[in-house]
Amino acid sequence: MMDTAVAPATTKDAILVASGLTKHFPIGRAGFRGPMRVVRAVDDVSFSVWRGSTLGLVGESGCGKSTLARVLLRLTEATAGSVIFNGENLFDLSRDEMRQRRRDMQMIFQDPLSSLNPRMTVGEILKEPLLIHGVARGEEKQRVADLLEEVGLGPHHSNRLPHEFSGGQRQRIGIARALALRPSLVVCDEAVSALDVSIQSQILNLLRDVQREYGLTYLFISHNLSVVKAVCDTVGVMYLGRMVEFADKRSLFSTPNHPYTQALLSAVPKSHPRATGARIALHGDVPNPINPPTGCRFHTRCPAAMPICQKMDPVLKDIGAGHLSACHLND
Amino acid sequence: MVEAADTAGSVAEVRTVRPAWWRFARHRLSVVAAILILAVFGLALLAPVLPIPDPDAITSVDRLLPPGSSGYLLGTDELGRDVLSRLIWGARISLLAGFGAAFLSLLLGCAMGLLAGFMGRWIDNVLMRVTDVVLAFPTILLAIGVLAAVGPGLTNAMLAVAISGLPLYARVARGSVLSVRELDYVEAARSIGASTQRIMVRHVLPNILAPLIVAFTLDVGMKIVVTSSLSFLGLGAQPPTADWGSMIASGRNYIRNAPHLIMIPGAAIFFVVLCLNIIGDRLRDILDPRLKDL
Repeated sequence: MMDTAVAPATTKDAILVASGLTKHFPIGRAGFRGPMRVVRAVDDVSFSVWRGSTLGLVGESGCGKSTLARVLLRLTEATAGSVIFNGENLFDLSRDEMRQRRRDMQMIFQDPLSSLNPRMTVGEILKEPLLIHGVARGEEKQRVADLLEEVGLGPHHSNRLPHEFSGGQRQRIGIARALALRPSLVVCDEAVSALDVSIQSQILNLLRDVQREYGLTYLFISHNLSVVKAVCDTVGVMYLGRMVEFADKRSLFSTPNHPYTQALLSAVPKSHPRATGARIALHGDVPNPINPPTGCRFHTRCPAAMPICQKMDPVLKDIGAGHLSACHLND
Repeated sequence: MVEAADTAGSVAEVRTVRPAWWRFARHRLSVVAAILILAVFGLALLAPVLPIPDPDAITSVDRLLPPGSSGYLLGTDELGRDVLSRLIWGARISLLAGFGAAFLSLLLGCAMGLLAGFMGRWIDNVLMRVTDVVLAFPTILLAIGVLAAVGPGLTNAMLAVAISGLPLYARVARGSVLSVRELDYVEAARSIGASTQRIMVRHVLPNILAPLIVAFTLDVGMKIVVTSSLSFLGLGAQPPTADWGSMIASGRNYIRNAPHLIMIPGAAIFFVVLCLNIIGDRLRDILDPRLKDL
């Protein structure tokens, strides 16, 4: 099912187009009257998400994946750029208009416990989106029961509080909440990272089932490449606030182009004990996003760095069949 | 009626969470404290119908009688008024002043803290600087200042004490808001399209209440002491109205030959404040939903 989602470019329908997205967090001045310093959490990122597909965003901790997701849903205001969602620029909407649009875009969080209000019962949690948007008026209770059933829980769970559930069950509640308004886009921010491996696969299956049933589009953020490989159609690789490679999953996993992607993929545990394949070990730490390296941001750790990498910032460009990569090696 | 409710509850639904009163009742000391507080409340409320003499009735032949004298269980004061009667009538004033002032502080302070913590930016700055200014004055001094401006009296004293108590609640509330508003469920609420107002009332407020309620129960005791102090200074309840603070004030001249005049109202304040603190501690324990099984 996942494989067939890659249709010819002409019939692709972008549900979301992000262009030039930038988010800088000001962190105060350097010295008394020095320049304002900023953390460049997301820096000039552009991409599209195709309707009905799953886009994976991978990268190390702190590379700006979650910030990107929050900026896309306008949970934080972007510094620059635009997000066209269903043909409408979200950043042009007023606060009230934005609240209305949230019906169509939902989020599933990493920590299933902290994303559920500890003082609301599961029924109240699931009823809230319906009440806010006036959906299923008068039959909220039935709708809540349906939602619970859909995610593998029962109506009798609706009187319980979140802390009475296991991690996997809580995540199911989080998914039910995200589905309550029948959205078209769901952002899963590390949705399975906090769960046991066996529970992870259950939740991933659930996500796949509801995607099929509602024709959902997922933006799937994860640092776990195996998970991304299992669920995504398209994958974007981020490094230090930049998108360095963006390609169809098959293409990316079979012929990774960017040295950073190659290093990431070589670090994925192999399922076969004698599987070979040189491990590319990166040295040093991720540079400080307050003061990112000049030129290509990866040149300080890149095994293939050239003199030009220190001077010129490579642009993300098509290296064939829609496989985008930002590396000077391709020139 | 109690039995009916019990069986109905067990048949109709299987509760996994014990009701709050049940968890409260597991702790003996807090039950004793609660019963004592309720008893004091009951006595205060029933004062008009209790068979006790008029608290303001002066019997000049029976002045400064010690406790246990015939006809006067707790003795009489310097004007021959019945101390027991004044103690019970005084409880009305002291409890009203304590709870009233603390409640007013809670309401206003909580609103301030919620706004400051959730809105941030200049709202936070303005509100917190106001509380800093209030905090810079000692409680009694501030209350005296306010009363000097608006004139003495019980209502004014309550207002003055309530104002001086604002920073406590505003700061507790703001601190909790700052930690709660970063939690995922607040973000989740925003992402389902909840309005700021809804997020504050439905998601943030219920989750910051526990420390505020604890602060409140502890603060009621504090407020009883402060309003009593104001009455002691002659700025609160005006004579001849009985109030624990003013009873101590008028009794202090007779501390050598009639120590019961200050000991009895003093002990009343002590026990009420102690009981409130015990209840406050227990409430803190049971209001944390993660400690349901205590």
